Amino acid sequence: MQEKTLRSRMIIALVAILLLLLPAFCGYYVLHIIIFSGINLITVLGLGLLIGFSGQVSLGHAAFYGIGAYASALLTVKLGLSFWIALPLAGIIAGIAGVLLAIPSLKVAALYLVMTTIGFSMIVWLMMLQWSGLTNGPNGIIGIPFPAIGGWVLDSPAKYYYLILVFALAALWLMSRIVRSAVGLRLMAIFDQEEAAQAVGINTTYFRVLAFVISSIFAGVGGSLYAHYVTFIHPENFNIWVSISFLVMAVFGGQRSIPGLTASVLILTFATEYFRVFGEYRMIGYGLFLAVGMIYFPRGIGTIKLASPKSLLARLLRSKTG
Amino acid sequence: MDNLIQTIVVGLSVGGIYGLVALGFTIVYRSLYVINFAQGHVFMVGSFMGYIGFSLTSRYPVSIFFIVLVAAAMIAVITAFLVYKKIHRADHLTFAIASIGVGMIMENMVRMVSPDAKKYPDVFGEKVFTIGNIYISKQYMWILGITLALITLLQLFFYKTKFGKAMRAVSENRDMASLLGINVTHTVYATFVISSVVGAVAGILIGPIYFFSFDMGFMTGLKAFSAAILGGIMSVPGTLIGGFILGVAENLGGVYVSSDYKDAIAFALLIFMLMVKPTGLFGKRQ
Repeated sequence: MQEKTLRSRMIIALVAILLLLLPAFCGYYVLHIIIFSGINLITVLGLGLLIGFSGQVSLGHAAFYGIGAYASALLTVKLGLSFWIALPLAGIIAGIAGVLLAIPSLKVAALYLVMTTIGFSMIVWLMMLQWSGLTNGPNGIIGIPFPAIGGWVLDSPAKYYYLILVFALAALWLMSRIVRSAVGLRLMAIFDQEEAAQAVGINTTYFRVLAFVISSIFAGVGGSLYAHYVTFIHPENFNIWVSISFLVMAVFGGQRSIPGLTASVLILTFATEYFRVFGEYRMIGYGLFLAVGMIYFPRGIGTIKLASPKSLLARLLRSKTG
Repeated sequence: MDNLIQTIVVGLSVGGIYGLVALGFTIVYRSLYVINFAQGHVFMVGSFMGYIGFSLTSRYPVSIFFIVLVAAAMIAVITAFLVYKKIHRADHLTFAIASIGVGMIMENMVRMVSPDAKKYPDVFGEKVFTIGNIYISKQYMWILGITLALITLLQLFFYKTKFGKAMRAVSENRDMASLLGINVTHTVYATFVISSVVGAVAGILIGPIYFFSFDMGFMTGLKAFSAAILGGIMSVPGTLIGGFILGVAENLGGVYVSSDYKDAIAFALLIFMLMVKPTGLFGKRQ
């Protein structure tokens, strides 16, 4: 027992050192992708909570991500606020948007929720594109300032990496707390047995909206971090494909598995970036990856950890014959 | 007033197209309880194959039309064999993601062959009917006629033929149907073949009105899906009416409210309708 905790502590320390020293090993490009992975992870964790724990599927998370990004960008560029004030405000604004969508969506069944979220995200996207007075239309917003701590401006990937590291770890910690908390348990109860959950006095409406709001706040914070990293945003950064890629990451990660979500975000973000050179073939490959992945791992890669290589082989064989 | 009627007629024919694509969603959902997000891409592939056929020769439009439909059916058989057959019993989210993957494969394969938007050859003739001050192109008449004919055929198929009845039996209770000697795998194939053929018909019909491009599938698919939901995804006539409503509302909104927010109007209407009637206009409570 003593030895085991010592070993796990050593592993944690090793991972921590590795994460801290990562910018020294990695090239500019790899670091860039890792930063994107961190930003995606924050959003996908929120979406994972919504899908895996409350059973609500959103195909419009790019809207909340985009609202966070635009809110943060406009607050810093037009009002001159500091990043440290704009970031929480971006989260709050995205959260309010989440309430606005969640309340009318309460009445609709699971399948129809997919549609209302798509509709919402199309409307938000069109507003980014057409409401030029506020959003500057298709030209987007340029010159979004880098965050600064005191006088230290985080203007390079190596510096920004640490900011993302802190936020991604905080998001992971927060999400694992939420999942194990009374809120998480109640959400799972509602998902698994709605009538039973109601019978024991759980306010299903309240917890559904809560899950939606938490997940849109995560997306809003992710969007804000994105805006201040790339410093230039335009509506195409938040179109329906972005929503789809978030959904794919969340589903591929496996329901109710935080390590699965993390692995899936890393794999898919790296895959999308590295396959960029292949042009159209990349998208064909990505499509194949989704279709084949869903055939062999219908519950996402979060379930792999339970399977030894032998049983994995058995599963492949079974799916061939069956 | 004339302008209003003309807008409505154009809206009805665009709505007919949405309705046909939406019908693909409905057919698959009704029998397998999954959403095939590649439906819009099947529509696009149908349009593309029609483009190739009509560009080769304009002498046998009817034969080309049917050849394209056979090709669409073959594509459906291939995708069903490789992907859908294996996962149609899975969680609906799993199926949705896999079908998005299939759609991406289709879109980018067409993109490799034809990266630019193409002007469709004129298949239906350019004749314009004039009633008072209203001008209606012959194409719109064709769209409406073929849409209504196809719906009638489908209803006859589902309710009058033995195979259609078997498909409905499978959708009601898959295990029981299987016990009674209905080949479930065959009905799975038939489901995708029918939905794919209907999608391809829509693809050919829309060609002469708009340009063809490889990326038109997804957006049309989304709108068609909204139309299906709007009408109630379990009902064939409901789906078509959903398509008509969406087409007319979008065109009216585009002309009288704001052309910039044309798509936003369609989706806002959808969200509003779902709030008022959560199961769609003609949907029954499950």
